[in-house]
Amino acid sequence: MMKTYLLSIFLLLTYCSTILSGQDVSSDSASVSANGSAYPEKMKSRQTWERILSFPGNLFYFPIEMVFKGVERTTEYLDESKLVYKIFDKLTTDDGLRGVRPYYSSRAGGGIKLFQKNLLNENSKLTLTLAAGLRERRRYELRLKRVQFPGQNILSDYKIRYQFLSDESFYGIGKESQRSGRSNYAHEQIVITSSFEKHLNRIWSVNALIGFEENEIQRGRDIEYPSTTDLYADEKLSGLSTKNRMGKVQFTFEADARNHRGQPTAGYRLFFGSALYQQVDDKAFGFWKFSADFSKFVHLFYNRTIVLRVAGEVTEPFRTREIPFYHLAELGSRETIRGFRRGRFRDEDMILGSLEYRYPVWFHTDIALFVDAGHVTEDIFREITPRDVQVGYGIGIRLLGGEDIITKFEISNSREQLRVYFELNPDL
Amino acid sequence: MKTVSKKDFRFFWSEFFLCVFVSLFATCLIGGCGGSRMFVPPEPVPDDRRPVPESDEKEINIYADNVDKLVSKQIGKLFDTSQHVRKAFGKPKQAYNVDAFGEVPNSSWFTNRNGSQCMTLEEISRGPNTGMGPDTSGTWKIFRAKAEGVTPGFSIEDKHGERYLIKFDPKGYSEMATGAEVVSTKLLHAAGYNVPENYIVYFHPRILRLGEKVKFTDKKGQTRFMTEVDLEELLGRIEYLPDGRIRAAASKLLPGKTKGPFRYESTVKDDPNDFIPHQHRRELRALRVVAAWLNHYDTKANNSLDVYTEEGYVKHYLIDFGSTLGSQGNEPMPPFIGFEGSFDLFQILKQLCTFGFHIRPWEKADPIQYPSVGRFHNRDFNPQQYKFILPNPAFQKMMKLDGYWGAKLVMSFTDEQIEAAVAQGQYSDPEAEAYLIQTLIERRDIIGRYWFRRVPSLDAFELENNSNGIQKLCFTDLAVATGLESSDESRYRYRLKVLPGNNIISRYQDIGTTTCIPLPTPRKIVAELQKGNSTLPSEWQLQVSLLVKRGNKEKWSTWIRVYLVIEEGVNEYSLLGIEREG
Repeated sequence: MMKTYLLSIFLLLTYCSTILSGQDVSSDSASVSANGSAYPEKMKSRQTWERILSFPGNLFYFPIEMVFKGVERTTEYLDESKLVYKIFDKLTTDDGLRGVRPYYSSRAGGGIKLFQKNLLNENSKLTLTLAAGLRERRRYELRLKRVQFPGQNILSDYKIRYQFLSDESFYGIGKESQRSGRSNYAHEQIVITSSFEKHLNRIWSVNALIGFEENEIQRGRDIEYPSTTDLYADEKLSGLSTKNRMGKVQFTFEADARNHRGQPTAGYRLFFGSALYQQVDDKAFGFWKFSADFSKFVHLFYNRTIVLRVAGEVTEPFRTREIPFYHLAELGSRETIRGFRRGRFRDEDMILGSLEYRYPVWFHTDIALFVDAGHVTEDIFREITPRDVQVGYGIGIRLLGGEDIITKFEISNSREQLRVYFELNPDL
Repeated sequence: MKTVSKKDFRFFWSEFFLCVFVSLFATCLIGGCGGSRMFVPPEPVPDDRRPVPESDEKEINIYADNVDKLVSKQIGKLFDTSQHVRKAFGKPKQAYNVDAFGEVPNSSWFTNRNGSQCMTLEEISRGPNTGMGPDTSGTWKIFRAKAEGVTPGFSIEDKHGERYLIKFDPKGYSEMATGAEVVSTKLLHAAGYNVPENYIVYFHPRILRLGEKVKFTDKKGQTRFMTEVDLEELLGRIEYLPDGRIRAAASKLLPGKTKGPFRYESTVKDDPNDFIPHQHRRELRALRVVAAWLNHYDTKANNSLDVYTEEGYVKHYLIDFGSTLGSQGNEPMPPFIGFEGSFDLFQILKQLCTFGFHIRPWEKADPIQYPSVGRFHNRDFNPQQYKFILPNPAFQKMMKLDGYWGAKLVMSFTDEQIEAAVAQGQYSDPEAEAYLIQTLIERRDIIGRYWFRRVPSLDAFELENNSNGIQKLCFTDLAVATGLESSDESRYRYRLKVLPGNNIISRYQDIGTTTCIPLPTPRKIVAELQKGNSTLPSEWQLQVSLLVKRGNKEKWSTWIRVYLVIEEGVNEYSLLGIEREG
């Protein structure tokens, strides 16, 4: 039985060999002649031996092909039903001034962002962000941006935000904090701010901000880790047990010489400011926060860009008052060292350096390779020890659209863990 | 019940592989011994312009087609063992619809024009046009419009009842898209493809009349009835001439019933005339060469149209050439066009892995010199590496011989013919026009050099009698005839062989720069064979193998074999066919 089978395979392959030796075209062409019917016989795109030879591969590919067919049919349906158009049509007005966009941020969760442009003046924008995530995480924010006072070269910005960050991490204070010391807490916060910006020239601007915030630390919602409220119940962790209301006054200088807002390839951005936080319903908390942030974008060649960033933050108690732990300078997550979790390192002061190399790989798609390094310390001017510098590195992909980044996906690694970040329509 | 033991199983596989290897060895042997059999001319391809019942209208969804061509088909190809086997053995699948001389017969797809007989400049200029275009002396009634995409357009009916699709130039790039539409139409028509009648027209917007219940696809892709406001908005996006007129390309609606686009693969089931899989049609495979010449990167199925003609067959047209030469319709050609497809995974991975240090040629884009031409140049132009918007199944099947045939089409255009075609674009800037002509000529020559070096360009074989009555086989070296190579530096050699069998009459002989070979009489052949104790079979053919060499440094080319047969009663050779190594 087996021998017969093998013989047939041999004969088949020999037949294929004969065809391969140069007879294929003419044999195909011979089939063109009419087969008795009025019209010529349709020619096969593959000969029999080709179909037999390809059969195992086709069999293997069949389920994959079915998946693709499904994708094709879905795409076809979406296009022909104009579903995407209809959704965007429903989400955006004809003049494009009012609309809704999806929103996602790892901190706030997913949701929607409603916007109304040119509300009070040209370029002003009112946005309402509604986002929610796992473990009751949520953020609601109403923001009115770039409102111009009549006859004045002053732009104002107003924001009211409620957020409930249900599983923030706390590892202790100081550079020696251990990963194993992770606890979690929920942070309920209401923030109201008004800021006023005056452009001194095309690059420089000054900004004054007054604000109010209410903070309350609650039991963490992540049951895998102990709650910070339990773990530090007997210890004195500033800001843990009391609800506080704080006022904030901040002055900043900012220089923005970037050539593009979402994905600059040249120029720089400099920010330095000082803020005073004072508890308004008591006198327990009060502190200064001084911060500086400088980013330089160096265009290498053909849209390949190096981004160098240096930032620092100093938090100092105001008189004898205390600094709530959640307002300490911190390192971790996407704005600082991406290889660490948010709040992984906290202390009064922080210094950060970041080097990023961006290069295009496809239309509107860039890759970013980055290294972040930073250090928290009680006093930045006295103790910076290179061996305590924390380092993270990674790779990211950004999908660009016009002036904005539409999607950002980053993978970062550090000595502790690998972290993944995804953002959709992030705030710039 | 008998169970298969592990031993049996192992035996089966070892025997199986033995069989495979023996078969492959046999293939090599048989393949290696090729060339001693008689040449069998292919059966003539039946005419596909016979009356057939009307077929259904087809639609191809552009997005589903993208998924199919960009992802599904590309992955599927990896599993296609027969393709890999063919590739491994160097036995590509040749086009089905060629005659004994590698030429394509006239069909509903293609008509031999400039490639077979040099067209006059008037013929080139006229192209497919049968009239003068829409009459601007009367009003134009708009009966359909579109605003989706960046380039708006509408369909009109002139006072004679003739219907045209009107397309415009984008703002800031006057003459660019309309010029490209018309110039490419002329060249593709002369090459042999079916194209619509395209005219440059100048009209005043006051002749436009909005018809009743004009279906209109708005910017959001929604279809509704058009209003005067829509028309006003649409005309606001168009470039105007200083005298208030508008320049446009008017594409005459094709005569017959439209049946939707054709695919560049397989056949249409309900069209009995469509019996050759499209990917195996030489004219569609070779369109890759012609399209690369014209920077016609958008050769997807949706830029084609099948029309059921009054004669009762389906005619296959290429349409929409606004995205050719330096124009992308709504803007100048982006720099990457021709270098990368719409999703080029290989390039993306290459870029990813080289950390951006690999600079793609298109990234060094020059600024646009002439807005009326757009971005069209010959820098880094490689006809074989040219990338189209989507992988095209017919283009992917293109073999060396198809490429050579396509190059012949392109090289058939003289400088004067190109000038005549470009003149129809009615460019107002003579410098821009000269630049476009020069670029087309240079790209044409790049194509010629590329293909004529890969496939020897000896062609147009014919038999001549000299004064002594001895027959000669003469040929034209296209590379020399088109000025790509010098005749002084081109050397030829030939070998004569009687088929069937391995009866070599004369080993390879150099004939220098001569392009005619004296043929031995049958009597001489008999004498030669007798020297080797062989006899002339009753049925035999004379095989003339030819090689060419350019200059002293290059190697001899691949072979071309010309097959000759003695006609009964006449005692003279006649051409039976040719074969090229491909």
